[in-house]
Amino acid sequence: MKQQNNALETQTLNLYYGSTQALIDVDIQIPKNKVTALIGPSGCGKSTLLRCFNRMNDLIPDCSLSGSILYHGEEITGRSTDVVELRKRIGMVFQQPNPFPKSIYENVIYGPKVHGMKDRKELDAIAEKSLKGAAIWEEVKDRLHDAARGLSGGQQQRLCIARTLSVDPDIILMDEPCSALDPIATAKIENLITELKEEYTVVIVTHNMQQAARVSDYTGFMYMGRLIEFDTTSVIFERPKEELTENYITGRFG
Amino acid sequence: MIMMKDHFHKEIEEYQISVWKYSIFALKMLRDSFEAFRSLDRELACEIAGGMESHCISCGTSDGQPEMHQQIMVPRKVLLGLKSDQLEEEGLMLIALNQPVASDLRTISCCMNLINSSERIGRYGKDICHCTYKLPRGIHIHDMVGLPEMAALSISMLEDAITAFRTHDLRMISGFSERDDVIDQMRYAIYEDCIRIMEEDPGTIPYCATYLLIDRYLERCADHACKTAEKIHYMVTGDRVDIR
Repeated sequence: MKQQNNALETQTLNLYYGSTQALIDVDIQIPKNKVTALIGPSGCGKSTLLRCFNRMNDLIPDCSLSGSILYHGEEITGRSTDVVELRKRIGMVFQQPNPFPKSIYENVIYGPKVHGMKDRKELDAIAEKSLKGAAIWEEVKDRLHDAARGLSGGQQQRLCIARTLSVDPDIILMDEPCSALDPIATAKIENLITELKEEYTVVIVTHNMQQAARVSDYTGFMYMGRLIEFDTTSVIFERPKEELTENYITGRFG
Repeated sequence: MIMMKDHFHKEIEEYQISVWKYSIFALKMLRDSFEAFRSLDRELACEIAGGMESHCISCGTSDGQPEMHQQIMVPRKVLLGLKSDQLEEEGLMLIALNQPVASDLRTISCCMNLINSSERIGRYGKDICHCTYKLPRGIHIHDMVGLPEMAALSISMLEDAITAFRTHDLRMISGFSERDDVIDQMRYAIYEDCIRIMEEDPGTIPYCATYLLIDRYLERCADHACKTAEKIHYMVTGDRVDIR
């Protein structure tokens, strides 16, 4: 029963890049309709873990893993998993906004079109719904056919979130979505993240400790490939149990 | 590798020392105030609390009131208020500029609480000084109905709380619930004694009414000691406890 409250779960997950082990015995449970933040120093494995969730690591040669990754209780590491379908369900937003060199509209409907949708009305409806969902509709509704690259960085990032929403995912992975943005654009994305959890499960990797504290419900601290501590965000930032966590978040890292 | 926040942690350490010194200043104010009251020493009371606004600031216009000469010197109560604001400001700056978390945040939170409690304690001292003005010079009655013992206990709790704040040694505050119970018993015993004495001899009313006020102030001071102890416990362990 309990499992159904978890959108994602890993069990003794080990991952290697060639002979280098990047994840060591990671057991993590990502609760549904919550924002979970992954924090830790560079190279600790948090982005690697994030990429495991929609099998982006498949694209890296030499990458191998053992253990389980469960998506709503279902194993997704096997060969029988439809990776295209999986990535539709588990979308990803990256550090650098990466809109296609197309119009705003074309960017948003790119996913549904690739998946075979042709009906213009339906596509229009999806575009509007996704852009609204990403809190950018009001800013672009009068210039949907302008080039996406003409938007500001913060707008581009929200467009990328809209593009992710357009294929109707239920989990959104974000890898440092604000690190290239100014404070105002960052605040907009953070507000958006809080709204998104109504409908989606969000996992966010961030180096910004205050951002993790502001937007997430749960926080996992990773260090050298291990998940050191996982708890509610308030516990992690107010009274972490592990000394390593305490030292990292207070900046006492040797 | 150099620690990233070295400078900040040095600042927190210095801040704690400033707050600790402030609490010692406030506690000394309380201790000296009670001593001024015990010995009915108006000069000492004036040095702490300044004059009573209506008839002390300028000399010689006391209209039959007890004369209280104030030297051109800032009474301690003024310093108490100024320093409190300054320390609070420093704490807010530490938070605003460094966004502390975990033990750093708990430490600053505890400091802010201690600043507040210390100011309250110092101000109870000032109030005790004002009681000193109200009584004629001379001697107390009925050995002050047990107030010196209560003051000693209340002050010892504050001393231990302040030491625990500095050393993080929770043993100093482990018996606070029981000590606070004793304070409460003393408080009611003094209350009842005062009522009885006043009923027996209305001439004692100026004394006993003053004792009742101080009874209350000392009880409040012990309460601040308990509150501080709770905050220290939280600062050190991250767990909240309820003392008493």
